[in-house]
Amino acid sequence: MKNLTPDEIHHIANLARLRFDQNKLTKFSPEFQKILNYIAKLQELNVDKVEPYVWPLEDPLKLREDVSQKLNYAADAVKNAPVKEGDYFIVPRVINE
Amino acid sequence: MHNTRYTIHIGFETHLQLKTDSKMFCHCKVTFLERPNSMTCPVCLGMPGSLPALNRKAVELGVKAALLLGARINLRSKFDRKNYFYPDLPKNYQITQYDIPLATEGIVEIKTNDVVKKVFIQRIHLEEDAGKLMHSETQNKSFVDLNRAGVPLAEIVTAPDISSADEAMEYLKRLKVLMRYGDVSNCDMEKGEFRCDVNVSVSKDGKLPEHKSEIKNMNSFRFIKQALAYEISRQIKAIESGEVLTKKTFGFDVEKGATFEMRSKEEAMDYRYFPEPDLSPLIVETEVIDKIRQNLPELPDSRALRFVSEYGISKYQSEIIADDVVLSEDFEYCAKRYNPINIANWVINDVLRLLEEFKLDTSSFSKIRDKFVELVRMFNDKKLTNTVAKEFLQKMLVNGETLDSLLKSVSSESIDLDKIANEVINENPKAIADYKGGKTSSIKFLTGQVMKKAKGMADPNKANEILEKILKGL
Repeated sequence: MKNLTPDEIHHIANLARLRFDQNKLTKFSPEFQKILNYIAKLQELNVDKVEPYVWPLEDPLKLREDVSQKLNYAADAVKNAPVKEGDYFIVPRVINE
Repeated sequence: MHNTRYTIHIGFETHLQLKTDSKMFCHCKVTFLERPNSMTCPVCLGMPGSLPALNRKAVELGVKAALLLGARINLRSKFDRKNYFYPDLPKNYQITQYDIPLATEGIVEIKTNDVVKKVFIQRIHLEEDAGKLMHSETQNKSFVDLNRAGVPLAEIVTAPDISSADEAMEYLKRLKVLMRYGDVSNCDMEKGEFRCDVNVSVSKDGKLPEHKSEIKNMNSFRFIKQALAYEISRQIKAIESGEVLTKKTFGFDVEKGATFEMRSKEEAMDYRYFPEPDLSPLIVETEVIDKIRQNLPELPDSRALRFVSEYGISKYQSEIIADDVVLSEDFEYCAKRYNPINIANWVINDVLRLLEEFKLDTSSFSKIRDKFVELVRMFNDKKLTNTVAKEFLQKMLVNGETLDSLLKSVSSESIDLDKIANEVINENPKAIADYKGGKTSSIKFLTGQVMKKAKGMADPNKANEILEKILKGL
C-alpha cells in the first residue's frame, strides 16, 4: 500500500466535507494509513475466479407497486430547516457558472 | 468547408423521465409545478433511517425502453451510490447504476439524406432525479424545491457515433418518437422530461480525440443544434490556431447563442461510487421481459407503411403522421370513420399547422377528433366552404369551441336565405338582366354570391332554389 500524501488526505477530507487543522492532520494521517494498510490485506487474495460479490443475501430485491400518495408534506419538510422562506429550503447561492 | 477536413464526434447522455405515478424509491407523487416541497417524504428528503423501495413500474419502463432500443437486458443489475454534495441532492448521494446497468448494447437507426446509420447505445440505466434550485439574482441565496428529487429517470448513453448536428437532431427525434410510442416517457422537454448532456469533439485525423466538450443539461432541440454549431466551430478554430484542447464542461447561453465554460473543480468528478447497501441486486425475470416484449407497440416505421397500404395515403403523409404516436392514433380513429385521404390532407395541411402555430400538444387534437371528422364531412358535402371550415377548425382546436355551437352561431345569425337572396338580387342588376335575357347560367354566379354572404353556411341547392323562385316572380 502506497503512503498517502497530505494533499491526498486533504482531497479526500474535502470530498467528505471534513476539515482538519494541521495538528489533527498530523495525528490523523498515520491512523488513516493504518486503516488503509489493514484493508489492503484483501488485495493479497487471488480473486481471478471469484464472481464479484455485491450482496450477501440471496433474496431478490422486492419491488413496490407504483401507487402514489400526496402527503402534502411541505410544512413538515421545511419545519426543521436552518433557513427557510415560505415552502422553500434556503441555502447559500450555489451555481456552477 | 471545414467538415471535409475535420471529423466530428458527438455522443448523448439523455435523461428521460419515466412515466410513473410515484417516485423511484418512495410513494410521493410525481408532479409538475406543485407547491414547493409538498411532494416529499422522509425517503426523498434523505432523512436518516429512511429506506428506498424500488418502483416496479420504473423497472418495467426501463426494460421497455431497452427493448425499444434493441438492447441486451442484464437479468441481474445493481444500484450504486454516486456521492457528491449539492443542495439539490438531500442524501448527498444519488442512487444510480454504475458498473452493471439495466441494459447495454442497443441501436438507434437514423436516416439523414436517405442514408441510414446505426447509432450505438452503450448503456441504459435507472437513476433518481435531483431537486430543483432557483438562484436569487440579487441576494446570496438559492431556493431548494425537492418535489423532483427521487423522480425516476432512465439515462440512455450513446457511443460517440454521431458525426454532424443534423445526425444529432435525427437521433434525438428518433429517440423521442420511440419513447413516446412505448409510452415510456412523455418526453416533454419544456417540463424537463427529456434532458441531454451533449459530448462533442472535433478531430483532424478522424480518430476520437482525448479532448471533449460536454454541454450540460440541454432541454431544447433548437438550442442543442445551436450549441453544437458553436462548439464545433470553436474547436475547429482552436485546432487551426494550434491551441491544445482538453476535457471541459460547458453550459449554453441561450441569449448569446454561445457555450460558456463552467467552473470545474477537480474533485467534482470524484464521485466515489460504491454499491448501494440499501438495495439488493435487481433481478429482472425473463418472463417479465417476454411479457413486455410481447406488448411492445407497433413502431413508427411499420405504422407508416401500414397507413400507406391500408388507407391509401401518401408515403410522405404517412411518415409525418406516424412520427407522433398520439397523432397517428387519432388519424387512424378518424380514417376509420371517413375518407382517409381527406382526413390525411386536413391533418397535414391544417391540424399540424395550427398545432405548430399555437404551440399545442397533439393531445388537443385528440379531444376534437370526432367533431373533426364531422367537419371534414361537412366540408366535402359542401355544407361549409373551405374558409369557414378552416376557421371552425381553428376555433375548435385553439379556443376549445364546439362545432355545434359554431354551427348554431352562424346559422342563427345569418341564415335567412330569403333575405340574403333578395339582397343579392338587388345588388347584381346585370346578372339579373342576363338571366332574364335567357342566360340561365348566371344563376350560378348569384348562388355563389349567396353562399359568400352566408359565410358558406347555406346549402347551395337550396340557395339556388330560392333564387329561381324569386327570379321567376320578378
